[in-house]
Amino acid sequence: MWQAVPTSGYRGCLKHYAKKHRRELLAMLDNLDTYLQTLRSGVKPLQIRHGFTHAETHGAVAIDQKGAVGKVAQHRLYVYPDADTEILYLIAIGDKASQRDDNATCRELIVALREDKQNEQETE
Amino acid sequence: MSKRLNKPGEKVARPPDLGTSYPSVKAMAADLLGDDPEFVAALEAQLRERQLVKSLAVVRARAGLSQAELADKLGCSQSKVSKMESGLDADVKFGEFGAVLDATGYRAKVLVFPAGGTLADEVESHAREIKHLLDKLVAIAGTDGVMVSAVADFIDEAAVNLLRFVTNAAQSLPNCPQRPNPAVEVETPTPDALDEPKRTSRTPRPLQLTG
Repeated sequence: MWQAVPTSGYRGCLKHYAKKHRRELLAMLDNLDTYLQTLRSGVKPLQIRHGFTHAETHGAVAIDQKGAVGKVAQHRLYVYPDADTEILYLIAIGDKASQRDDNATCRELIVALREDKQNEQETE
Repeated sequence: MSKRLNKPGEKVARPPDLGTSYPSVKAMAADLLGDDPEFVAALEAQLRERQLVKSLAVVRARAGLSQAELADKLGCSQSKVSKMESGLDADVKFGEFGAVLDATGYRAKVLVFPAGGTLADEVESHAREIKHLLDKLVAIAGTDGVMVSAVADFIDEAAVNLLRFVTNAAQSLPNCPQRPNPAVEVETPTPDALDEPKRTSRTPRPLQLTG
């Protein structure tokens, strides 16, 4: 069953956003909940088409703040759904200005995960 | 400008260092934002008020439809579907709910629980529902040999899967002095065994019970 696993970077972002961008975080977590429920229902990550998801590099997915009440700035919560292990990695939260850095963070984690997986397969 | 914690080039935690996994966003928020009960309460309230509309978004995704494609089938605008999925359960009419299920090829079944009931009550209620459905299945099979064989195969497989769920749940519980060892341990087949080709003859799948 799909489980959400936060990275240390995400944990820090979460606390910051809960203080500074509450409405945006509330909407992003609500959307994250819908995304997780969709994965649990058996839909493959690449087939999920919600209005709040955006495909990023290396299989990462950005979940935005659509549905937030009032006028809010654009923010994104970056996740990586690993279909083999059914783990949804929660990687970072950022805004438009940090998008490039956030994508770099996603890429590093995903590459590291894939290397680990490859090493495991080679040792077996 | 948002606060960034993993800078490019900075070492990112690998899987073994990631720590806790969470079965839900609600559980994750309660744990990681426990020092902000107001935010956690707001999130829980929002998720509670949007269970039905979320299920509509999930069935649309399961049907492989975008909001625009579903809107086409419903004869409404994409923005109406979007508004429904991002709204509250209280704002959705029964007719709209039914129309979405029809368009996506699903049907709904309502299970009613007493207010204030526990999760255990819910599990018991589902177990009764499963028993009721199995009884219906057996009645439908009647005395037709082909049907009896097919239903028996299905029941074998369902038994294995149900036992696996229960055993996995029991094994996921941490050890503590207050919890005696379970009286019966059920060895469930490996996932590979469950993927065996469908059997054609009526031979019961072996279940190993120890303890």
